[in-house]
Amino acid sequence: MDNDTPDLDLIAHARQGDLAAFNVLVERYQKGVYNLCLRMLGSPAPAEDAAQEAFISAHRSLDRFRGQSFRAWLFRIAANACYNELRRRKARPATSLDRTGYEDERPIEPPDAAPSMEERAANAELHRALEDALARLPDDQRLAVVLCDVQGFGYAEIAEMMRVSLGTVKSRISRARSRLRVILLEQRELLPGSIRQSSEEQ
Amino acid sequence: MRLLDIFSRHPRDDISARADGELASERRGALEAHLAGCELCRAELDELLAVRSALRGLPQVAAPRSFTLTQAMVERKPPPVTSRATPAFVAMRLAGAGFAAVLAVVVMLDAGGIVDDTGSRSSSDEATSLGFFESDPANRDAGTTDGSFTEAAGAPAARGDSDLPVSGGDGGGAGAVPNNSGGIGGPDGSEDAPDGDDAAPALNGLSDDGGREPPGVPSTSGDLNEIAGDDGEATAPEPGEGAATAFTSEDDGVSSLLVIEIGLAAIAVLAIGASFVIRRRADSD
Repeated sequence: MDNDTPDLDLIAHARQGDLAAFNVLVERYQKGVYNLCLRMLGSPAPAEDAAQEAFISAHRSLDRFRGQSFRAWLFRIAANACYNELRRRKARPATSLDRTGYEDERPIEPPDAAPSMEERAANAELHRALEDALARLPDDQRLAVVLCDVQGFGYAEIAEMMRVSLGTVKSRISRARSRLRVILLEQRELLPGSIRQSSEEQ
Repeated sequence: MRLLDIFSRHPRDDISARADGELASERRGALEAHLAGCELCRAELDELLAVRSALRGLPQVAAPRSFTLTQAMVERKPPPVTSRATPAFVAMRLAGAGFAAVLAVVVMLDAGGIVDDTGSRSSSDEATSLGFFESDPANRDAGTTDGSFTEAAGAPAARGDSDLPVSGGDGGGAGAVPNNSGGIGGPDGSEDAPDGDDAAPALNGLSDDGGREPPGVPSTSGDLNEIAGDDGEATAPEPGEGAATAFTSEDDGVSSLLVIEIGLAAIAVLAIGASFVIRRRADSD
């Protein structure tokens, strides 16, 4: 039972009450789950809570997992945990604003594979701008585009995770990118490199 | 202007899907043809690709801690259930239900008198109203003011205060059961109609005479007693009811009963209301 054991084997063990087997799965996916929650919720502390909640409820409903991709199933649960938190915020707007404002003060940790100092400085502003722009998207569009571009899921997987049609996924991702583009273009001076670069690629 | 064009006529969703390589093959040809002739869409595609690669370049943050589960987390009950049923919520709900139940019992005891009353009234409305006018004017006034509260509280009030012959009948019926509090009602009705409640306890000794034989009481209010006596016999098998009616037939008892009912209702409503507030707080946590 180690990091090379396939998901389905670990799940089989976990279903028989082997918590250690489930925890191998947790360690395998916690970074992805946490990042999904972070992108959806925008600040570290709620993302941490949602990620933990997601793993707990995944363990609880492990018997309901059927078949294909454990990762997609787990991320769907994590997305639901995020929606729960977003709903709570809407029910209590004043408090959630306080909390978000407070936690945004905490610096987001640097990426794993650290680029050079110059690169990091150049990208920091773009990343900050992107995060702000993401936070301004409608929840459904944000989830679709994060699953696609940040987590690398295909449209069909996203459709299944969000329980919507392929056409809806396509449209949500397209609208999200379009909005992001508008938001980023408003601050074009922040990302001339990125735009120019991609234009040259064509 | 340019954005408006894109929103209205240009295949924006297809452009985005193409950027992901997710565009269905049968639409790919049409899109390429459109792109060849549409500068706006070529620009749009460039910018979408830029956004896409910027998103994909977003750093993945390391998990701030391990999310591995402990045995305690696994054994924990589902959070929505536990958060809703906080001890305070349960306590408030139980308190509300308890007070409501007590209120129901009090109202039923109270209404027990009404059932008796309406039973006799239906057989002889005339007699009851006659009783009203025959009794002491001061007491009648008290009866009508009480009666203005609610129907439930007003009916027994009228009986207790000014319609003494009827309550005497109740007592007489109860008096047929081994002599207990029902005896109070007996003499009350038969002999002491003029000053009713004040003298009632003092006349206990008469219960054996007046209570047992309603038809044989003195003729001033004899006819009334006869009717009420029938009524009393119908409900006589319940000794507890006799006690309850004896209680309600006292003037002070009626008004304090009203206060008790209103108080109980208020407490029950407050407790249940508080439980909703508690649950809302618990849910939003």
